[in-house]
Amino acid sequence: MSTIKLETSDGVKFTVKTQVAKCSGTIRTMLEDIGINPQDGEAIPLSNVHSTILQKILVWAEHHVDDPEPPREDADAAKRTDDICSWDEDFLKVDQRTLFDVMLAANYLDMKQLIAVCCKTVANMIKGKTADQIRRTFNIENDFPPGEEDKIRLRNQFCEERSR
Amino acid sequence: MSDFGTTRRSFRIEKLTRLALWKSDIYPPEIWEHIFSFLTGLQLLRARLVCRRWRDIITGCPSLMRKLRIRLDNRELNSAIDGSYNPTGLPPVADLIIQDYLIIGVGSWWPRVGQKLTHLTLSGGTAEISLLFGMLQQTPNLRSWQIREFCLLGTANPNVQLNRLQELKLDHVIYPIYHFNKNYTNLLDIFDKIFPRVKDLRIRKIWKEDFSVDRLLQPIRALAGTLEALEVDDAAVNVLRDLPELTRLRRISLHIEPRFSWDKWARFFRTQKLIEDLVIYTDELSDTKVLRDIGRAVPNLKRLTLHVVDEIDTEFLQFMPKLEYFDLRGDLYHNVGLYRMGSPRIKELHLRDVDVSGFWRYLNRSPQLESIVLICCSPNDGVATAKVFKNVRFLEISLQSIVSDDMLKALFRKCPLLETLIYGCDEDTCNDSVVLLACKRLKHLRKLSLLYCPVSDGCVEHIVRHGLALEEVRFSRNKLSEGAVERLRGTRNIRVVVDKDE
Repeated sequence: MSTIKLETSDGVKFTVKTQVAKCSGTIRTMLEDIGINPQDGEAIPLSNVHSTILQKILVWAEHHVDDPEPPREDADAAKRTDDICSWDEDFLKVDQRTLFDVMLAANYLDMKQLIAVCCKTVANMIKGKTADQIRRTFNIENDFPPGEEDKIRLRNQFCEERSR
Repeated sequence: MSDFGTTRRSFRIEKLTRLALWKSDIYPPEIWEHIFSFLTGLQLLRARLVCRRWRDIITGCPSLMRKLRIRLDNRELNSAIDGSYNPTGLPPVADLIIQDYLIIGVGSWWPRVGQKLTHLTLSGGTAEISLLFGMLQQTPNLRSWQIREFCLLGTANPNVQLNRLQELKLDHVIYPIYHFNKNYTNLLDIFDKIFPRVKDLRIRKIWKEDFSVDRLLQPIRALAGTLEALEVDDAAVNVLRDLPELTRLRRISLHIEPRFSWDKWARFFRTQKLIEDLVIYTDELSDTKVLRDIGRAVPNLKRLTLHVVDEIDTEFLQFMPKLEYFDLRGDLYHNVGLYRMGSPRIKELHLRDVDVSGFWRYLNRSPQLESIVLICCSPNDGVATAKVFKNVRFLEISLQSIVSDDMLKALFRKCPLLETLIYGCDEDTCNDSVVLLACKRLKHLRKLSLLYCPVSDGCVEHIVRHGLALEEVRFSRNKLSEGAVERLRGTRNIRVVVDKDE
């Protein structure tokens, strides 16, 4: 089975099955379009990904390597967040920083399914909370000038959800 | 040993500092946009309150703002839109409804809002037609315009042209004529000049005073090159007979007059193979053979709306295997048997003014069903021997529908992923028990509307305790105290809408 080498931002080298590495659109493009030859033994530099995060992402890719291509979604369609599989749910039971770092790295590596499942996880942390609870969850400071929040709340009264 | 201790401690301190300094707002806006794309419109409104950055990201992203609509609602205010009216700070939403306003002038807010609009609805209210054209001049990006139950005054030249407009709905537009002045401009004479690229045209409840439907032929003919969908109340028969150049129709509505020959229609449908959406109003449908013929002639039929006054069966559905939407309106409690084999692709089922039999059996064999609407409708099956309907997210049971407690319980049990429930049948009994049942059973319920039926403060307790996923609760005719409404609003930021008695 063919393997390639990846080198993270902190200089750690990983030897990875080519098929697993190709879960990343970025790496796939490098191999297929740009024509980087992994046989040279030279590692592909992933200068935006730390080794701890890449290690985690490779575990995910290994598990999902045989997943079929997801169907293309209508951009405006209602998106579900209650369809995260239990393996992914367990996989993403990590501290927030790791969760966001995985998401950011997945974005850089162009791994759409992993980004989606991370985004859903964060969206579920937002749902059903008041603004104040959301701030506490994400350690966000309320930086509105006094009275501004009430003004927005008042304007929100003019808005409603569009039906399908 | 001390070395080891120091290292460990400093490592812990470093880790703690790292976590404390870490803030989610270091991540780029694209990531947040992606996260927010999984929120519903109501959740987005709430997220706008969190901080400036979130507000700006949400407000700055058109695909997120597309989930929202602005409603300028005058139903309870009883005021007018004049030159001094100025709603400030509205988020840049592209869909606007102006409801029940007398419009006598627009100030500087309109060009700012109008530029961004893709959808505009005027519902109820009154305006000079010249002022209306002036407003439309400021909405160059409009793709859909609806005007309904609206009064237009005076005359105007069609001095505006909206080339991007694809969807036009004129529904019950009236032109009051005063004895001293009979001059007025009727939109029906000129809409083709203002909206020359319309694809989807619906004209309903034509105000017949001084207007003959034959006058419609000319403007509709002018649009023949773009028109794909046409709904014109009772004029449709004439229009379709007299305009053979309409060959690209995907939707038509037919009001079938008495004594109309169905044979001609069968022939007509064989020439209109593109039709996907069909609306038929008739009091002449004792035999459903014509519907079977239509099913065979129009293979891509996806939507069917049928108004009938006779007792019918729906066996014809077997000839419409691609149907996704079926809306059946009867004539007060005539019996309708639902097709025993179900519809393999049906997503939405609407039943009004009918007694239904074979309800569960139909549901059982319609695995794609997402939405069930029962208005003034009585399913008279026993308790379900049905499986769980995993795709059903929307259920409406209203307006004197007769649904027993057992049936309701069965529906909730069979549709555990329901997100929206609209319920309102009995005007007299208190419906706290329905609220309790819904909140307890339906763990994904986001929107709960209770129409017609009164509820008491007791239901607030149920919602607070059990309705953990609720985002919006809507009441009409409620007996809730102010305190209870406030308590509800304070709970997980539930949006509470109280419609006043009509």
